[in-house]
Amino acid sequence: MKMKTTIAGAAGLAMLASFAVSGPAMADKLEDLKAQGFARVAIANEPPFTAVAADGKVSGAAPDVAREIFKRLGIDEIVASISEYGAMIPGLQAGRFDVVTAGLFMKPERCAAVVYSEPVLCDAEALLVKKGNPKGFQSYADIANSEGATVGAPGGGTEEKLALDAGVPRDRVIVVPDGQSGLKMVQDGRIDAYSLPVLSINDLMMKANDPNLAVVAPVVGAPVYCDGAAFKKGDEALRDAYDVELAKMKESGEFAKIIEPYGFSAAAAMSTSREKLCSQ
Amino acid sequence: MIDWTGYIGLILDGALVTIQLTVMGSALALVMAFIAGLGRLSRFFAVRALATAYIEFFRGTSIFVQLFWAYFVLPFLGITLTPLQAGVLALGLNVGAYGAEVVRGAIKSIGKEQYEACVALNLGRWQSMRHVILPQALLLMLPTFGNNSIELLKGTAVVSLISLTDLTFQAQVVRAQTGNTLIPFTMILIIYFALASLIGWGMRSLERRMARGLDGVRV
Amino acid sequence: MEWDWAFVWQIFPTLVEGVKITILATLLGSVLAAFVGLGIALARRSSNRILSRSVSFAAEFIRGTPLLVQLYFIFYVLPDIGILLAPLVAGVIGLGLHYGTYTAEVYRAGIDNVPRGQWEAAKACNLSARQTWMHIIIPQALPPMIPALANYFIAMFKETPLLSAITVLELMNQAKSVANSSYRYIEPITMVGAFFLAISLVAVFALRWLERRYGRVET
Repeated sequence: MKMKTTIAGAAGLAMLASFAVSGPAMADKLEDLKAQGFARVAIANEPPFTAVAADGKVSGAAPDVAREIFKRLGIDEIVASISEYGAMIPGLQAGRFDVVTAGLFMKPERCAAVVYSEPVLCDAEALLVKKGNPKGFQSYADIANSEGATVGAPGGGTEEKLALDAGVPRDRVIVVPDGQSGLKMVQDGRIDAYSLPVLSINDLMMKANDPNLAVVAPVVGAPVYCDGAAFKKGDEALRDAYDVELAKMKESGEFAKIIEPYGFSAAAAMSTSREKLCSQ
Repeated sequence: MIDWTGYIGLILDGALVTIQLTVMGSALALVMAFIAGLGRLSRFFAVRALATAYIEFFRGTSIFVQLFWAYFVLPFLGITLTPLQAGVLALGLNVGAYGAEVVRGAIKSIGKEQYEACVALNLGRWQSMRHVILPQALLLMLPTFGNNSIELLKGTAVVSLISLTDLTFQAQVVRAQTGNTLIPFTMILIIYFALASLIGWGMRSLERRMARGLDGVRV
Repeated sequence: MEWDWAFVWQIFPTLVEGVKITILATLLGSVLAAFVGLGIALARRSSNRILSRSVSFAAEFIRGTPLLVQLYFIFYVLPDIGILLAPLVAGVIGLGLHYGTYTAEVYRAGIDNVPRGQWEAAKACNLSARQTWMHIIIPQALPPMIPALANYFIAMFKETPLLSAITVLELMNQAKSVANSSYRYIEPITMVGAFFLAISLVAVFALRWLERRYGRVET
């Protein structure tokens, strides 16, 4: 019975919320979040971008930056849910999260679907392969040209798109649920290469400590991408407030202090802009 | 090497979520099973049709699909459920549809003479259901209900795919952190089996207790 | 977000590719489950206590744990001991083993349903064990098992989306990959549900026909 009332209550609330959104005087999202006391963020559990520690605490460079900025905006906590990359933007649109802080790299089609903050984390792409790189991959095009070669990538992630764009046929781009599975599949010879950003691949390599694996980084022909915090369309005011704090932190050096221990370069994020990346 | 104590805590947290889902899902399934099961035996065509549609729909589409639908599509209809609510709703409605057939089957299996006796005693429809038919039918339903809630327990593993932090999900997290696949998965397999055994044992004792009052009536 | 028919037609061929794999996995899984179940049922009847006990326990364990976790186990842990299976093969083995524990119950009930008198008569006619099975027991036990087995194969069909978790490109995985590149979940997931509903409704009609043709066995 109690369950039923909760569901009915939730449905009622949701209806109210949707009326509020459609009303002319759109409520201030920032004020809502302050009142609520927390912001819901989407992460991917892909260290060092995003990670869940042994005690269940969310860490990683992207959520750490977001946590600090939200604190400065008067929102005490972030509540994270782990999501597949491809599910993040639909989840944002469906109101599942308030913001995506997961290393979701800026690309023109994503910029069209969400509103990004200024750049936060920048990284090039890498390939995890067997020792000695037996098939000699240097780029996604090499994989496309190699007869029957397969590449693993996260579903809906940047790497999946890059591989497809380079001409690797759909049935040779294997959607791998998480980094550990990708590593295991390379070790077991199920896939010839596994692609993630450089720092993520390095993190996997460090944990696996397997001398039979090698890293190809950076992948030739794949530019350095940067992510930003991604907000739902219509939340531009919140995004602008976020940008102001982000800029202050970049200025003061606190930004570098948070992300550099994870291996990210603050200079890389500061030398580019959303405008540039979204038209890349 | 790896400090497992923190990770064991994580997995136990997951076990708690799994138990929560199983209990709440089973409660919803039980309610739905009776509503739809009795609905299928209704005198009114509209009620029968509605109950049949519910049962066929939820039995016909996969629980996996229902869960994704509740999670990703319902928000566009203005209903935003938390992952836990979506999980309980999908599991409860799905297993409830299977349970409805159990309720219907058990009630129909009660002998005609029982109904005739009710008529002879001048009991109303509701009275005969409540005092004569259901107490006997309930006992017949129990073993299958037990199996159904074990099915529901197993079904909860699917919620890990909509980011609910259940056992399976936590095993994945531990796996991502430690790089070890064998230990977390073996651990959760044992926990699932223990929970399933617990449900089976609980249902059998419940069955014995309920049968006591019906000694000599029928099995 | 609005329902977009143009998008539905655009993704339709991709989803049909997935349906083919889903059906293939179900068919192969069903064949395997039919044999595994037979093996389990026979092992349980064996006079060798160690064999029958250990097979019973293994079957209980498989029934009490989620298929999803078993699939992870087959796919990610078995390679460590040198068993490297292609995703579809791993998936079919998972389905076959899991549902084999259910079909074993069907065989057991089917065999138990043959009246004792038949066994005694066979003995009285001095038939060998082989003759008893081939000419007396199996011909009587088999027909009522057919609908019950079909029922589990339909249930298996609805669990095939779990294979997406081990990278099999079946219907659910195709839908997810479409959703991932288009940022649209409504159409692909709803379509998956429609495919499942359509196929299982057809299957349920076929099942009703089988039940009329062969009668039912209660498991």
